Amino acid sequence: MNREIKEWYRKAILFYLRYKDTRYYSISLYGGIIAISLLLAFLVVIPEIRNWFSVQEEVQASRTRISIMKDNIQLLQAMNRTQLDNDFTTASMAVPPTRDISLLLSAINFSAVQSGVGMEDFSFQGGEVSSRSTVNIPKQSENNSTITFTITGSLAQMSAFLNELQQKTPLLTLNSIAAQFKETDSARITISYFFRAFPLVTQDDSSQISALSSDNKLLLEKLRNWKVPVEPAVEVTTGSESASPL
Amino acid sequence: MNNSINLLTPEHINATQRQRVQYIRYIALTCMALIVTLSVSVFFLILASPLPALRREESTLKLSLQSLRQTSAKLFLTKERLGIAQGIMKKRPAFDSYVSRIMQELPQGANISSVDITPSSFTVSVSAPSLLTMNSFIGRMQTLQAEEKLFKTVTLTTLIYDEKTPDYSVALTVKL
Repeated sequence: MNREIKEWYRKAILFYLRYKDTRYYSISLYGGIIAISLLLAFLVVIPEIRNWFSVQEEVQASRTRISIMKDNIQLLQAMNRTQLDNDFTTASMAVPPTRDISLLLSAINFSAVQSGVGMEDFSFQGGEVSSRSTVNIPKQSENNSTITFTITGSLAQMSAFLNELQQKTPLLTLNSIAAQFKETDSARITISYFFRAFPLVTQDDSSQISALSSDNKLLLEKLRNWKVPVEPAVEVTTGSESASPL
Repeated sequence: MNNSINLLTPEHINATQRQRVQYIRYIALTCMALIVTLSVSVFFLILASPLPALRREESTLKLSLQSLRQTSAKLFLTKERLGIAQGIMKKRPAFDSYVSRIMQELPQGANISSVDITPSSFTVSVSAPSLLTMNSFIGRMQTLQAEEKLFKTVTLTTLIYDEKTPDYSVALTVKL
């Protein structure tokens, strides 16, 4: 094996000595350099240049993210925490995260008191708690519950009651009204009220956080005036670094 | 064969060949120099990139944002709740305004005896001692439908005369 290598080496030396002074040697040498250069260009230089461009893109993206994060920090630090807590409570009372009957009853009772309608036969149906009112819960879905109850009063009082009810939180939708004024002066009202669980808040640092828009502020102001004097049991907890399961 | 028949002398041939080799050498050296220059330049450009510093700054800012997560989550959820509230308020039918409007349009002497409202329609029964009053009410309802486009259709369902009261009673079904 060793001898074979030596033999090959000797032949190579002889080959070199034979051709080193001819033009073929120079052409082969320079041709080889050109070939290696081209090879290096395709295998090393062009990928490196591409890499540089991608680094530039990453630099740009990073600068954008930094700018967004700085804006977000500035916005969040400048925010009035107490005001935000109040806004959050108001918004959560308008659309509660859970099915909270007490909030709803407060809204109905408050509207009844303000409009002067009676709710003598107000009671729960379906085996739940009963008091003096009729609240029938025929169907409920993930996002809303339908409730039927009866009120007594004149047409003007009923109109005032409906008006009040539309301006209370939690937000309600009137589904149907069957009112009889000639004999009983009573109305059977079916309403839907809405609740939705808080979504999982994923914290994407690179997305721009915006403050409440003027429309949001107007709506909050409206909802604040519609609040019935009951404090909800809404609590905010944050989760891991990446997500806040509220 | 006479050597002089070849117009190009061997010296001249050698000179041409040397010149070609020279060209190839220039090209080879230029290629090599170009590749080396480009490689070194790109290497230093990448080395001089501000990316590591930017990443460090990003990490610092992320840490700062960690302490503000509660605030940002509250803001996000407030906006989310307001979005839902806005949707509910846009979609819900304004029953109260319909009732108020009918009360406004009720002529003197007429009384509403019953109201049945669903999201798509409502039926209102009105009683009045004279047909003239009744006619006035129906006319006003038609105006609301034709001119103000408050309703799609207004249908006269029943018209009854009660001798005992004595009152005329009319039921109108309105498609919303």
